[in-house]
Amino acid sequence: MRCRKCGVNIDGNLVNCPLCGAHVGEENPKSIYGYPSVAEKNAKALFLRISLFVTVISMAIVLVIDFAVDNRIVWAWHVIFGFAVAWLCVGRPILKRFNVRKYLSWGFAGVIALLFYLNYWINSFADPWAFTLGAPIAVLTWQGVLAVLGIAHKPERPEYWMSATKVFILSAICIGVSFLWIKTCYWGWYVCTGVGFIEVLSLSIFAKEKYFSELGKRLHV
Amino acid sequence: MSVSVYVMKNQMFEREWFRLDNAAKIYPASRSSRWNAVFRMSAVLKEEVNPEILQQALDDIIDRFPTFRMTLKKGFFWYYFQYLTDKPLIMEEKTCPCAMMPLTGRDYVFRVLYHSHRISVEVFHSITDGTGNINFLKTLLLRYCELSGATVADVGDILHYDDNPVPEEVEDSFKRNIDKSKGMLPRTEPKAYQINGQHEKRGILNVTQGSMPFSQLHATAKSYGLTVNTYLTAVLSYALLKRELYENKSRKKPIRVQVPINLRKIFPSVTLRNFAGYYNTTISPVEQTFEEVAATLDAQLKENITPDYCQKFINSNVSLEKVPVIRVAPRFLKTFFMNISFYLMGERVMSCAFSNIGNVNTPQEMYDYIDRFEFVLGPQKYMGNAMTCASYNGRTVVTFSRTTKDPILEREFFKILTEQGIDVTINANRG
Repeated sequence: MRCRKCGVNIDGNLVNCPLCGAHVGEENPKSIYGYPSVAEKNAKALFLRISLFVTVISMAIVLVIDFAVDNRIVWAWHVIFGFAVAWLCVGRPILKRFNVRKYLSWGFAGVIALLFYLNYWINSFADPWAFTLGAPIAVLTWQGVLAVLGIAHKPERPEYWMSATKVFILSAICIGVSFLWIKTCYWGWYVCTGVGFIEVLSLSIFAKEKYFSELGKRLHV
Repeated sequence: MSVSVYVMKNQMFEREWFRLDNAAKIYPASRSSRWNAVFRMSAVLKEEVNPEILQQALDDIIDRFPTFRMTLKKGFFWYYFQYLTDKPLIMEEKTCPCAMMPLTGRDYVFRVLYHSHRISVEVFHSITDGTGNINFLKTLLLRYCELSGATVADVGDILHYDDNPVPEEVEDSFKRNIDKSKGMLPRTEPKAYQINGQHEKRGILNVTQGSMPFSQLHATAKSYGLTVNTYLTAVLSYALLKRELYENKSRKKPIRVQVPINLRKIFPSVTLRNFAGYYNTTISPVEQTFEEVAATLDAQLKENITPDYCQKFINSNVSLEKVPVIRVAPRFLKTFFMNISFYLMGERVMSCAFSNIGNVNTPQEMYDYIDRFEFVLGPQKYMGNAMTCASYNGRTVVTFSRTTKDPILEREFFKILTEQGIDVTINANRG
């Protein structure tokens, strides 16, 4: 088939000229150069748009109600903050196809953020219970899940050990911050330290080669 | 490191890893949630593809290409490649060509696709360049033909799946060929004219292919005293120039076409990783004839693409990577600054990219199985258009890929070719 307007031959799998759009003839399905037909609608993008639309509308409604009731914005910020945390910890990991480890990281980061926010809202950190209660619980749960993953799921993969190391470093940072901020150390921090030392000891004894190979790989300049 | 990769085929170093080569580093850094640098090489067979045979062929050849059997991981200072134990699986093509590569750190950064008569190998640009990809595809096709019943006596320059990879195939040839005494290239280049248009939806790439007899193309190029590569560059530049003059904007920018240079032809290297440079041709945005455009480009390419230019290109790229401050900076900082430099010095300084893989040669027995080769550049991050070319068995396929709706550049380009007496047959992925 030939396009009269462009002067080029058109392959048999097309009915219109791809250059000018002119109709050139009937489709010949026997052409070997055809491509698969692609649907333009992307389910993931559609989900993203709908969820964003619903979230934004909900936020707007919450703001309007709060303003109408109190003549100023009081509690609506907390709901909006909750939406943001939920989006970061649940929506984003799902859309980004996060693995379990990353999903946990974002989830617990969200939980810690929420605890700190509540602590700030209730007493502006006058009694910093978010540090002494929230962080140890989150850190210990993290370590527990990672240990189960490391031992039961794929024991040969050192990535989980590396994750455990990150948790240990996080524990140490939390303890340091705790000492600097509230000048004391609650029982949660001792547990963190104990678990961290046991972890480092076990890594040194049982996973020495793989662990250090992985560490060397990740720190190469 | 290279020696250990060499023995990887024997499964002795399953957990092997290696650094990205110099050119590969920009691609993971400049990626975004909507874009990463993917390109494909395809072969259209004369018979419909048999998926079972294709999977068997891929299983047989994958260990011959250790740089393909990798996934991209994040290190603290740089990205790196890590060996994957699971074998890659072929996939049926269901999306537009060069769809985003999932860089999850668990998946391969290449994929083998099939649809009807076409076998395609799409790669993330960090693992290889056009030469590496065409070598992989040719080995895959050779094994596919063998499993389909062909007996190939002399495989020629194709890497046979049964051979061991040599260390030189996985080396970073940029580092080996650095010579600081030759100087460096200037880093700043002016902004270039680009065709704008309404963008397609996310994930849509329009591919338009023009197939033509190589003899006609060659004869026409010779009539202007040009090589086929220079001729196609001239036609592309002229098409862009006509469009810019038609738009008649008050501030006109130069037409700059990026032409890749296969550095293996200048430096001794057989690497299957990235080893390509580029040169940006420049045409002033003033009224001129095709002959004038062709003469300007011919002179530019002859004068500038020299071993000295290529040496300076390598020096410029590698020296940046060696700066101590850059080396010790964490990856997220490097990514941030590389992203900015990609924006400022990457696609803004060119109007269109044109990559020509040249004439693809295969053993005579494979001509009974393969109809043609195709080369498709994936969507560009900021630029709307890209053009490629591949020749096989007396036919040349010029492929345009664009993320905009209107085929402005293609229309102009193929119009010039048909006006000069070349018989063009057009095909597209979306009618």
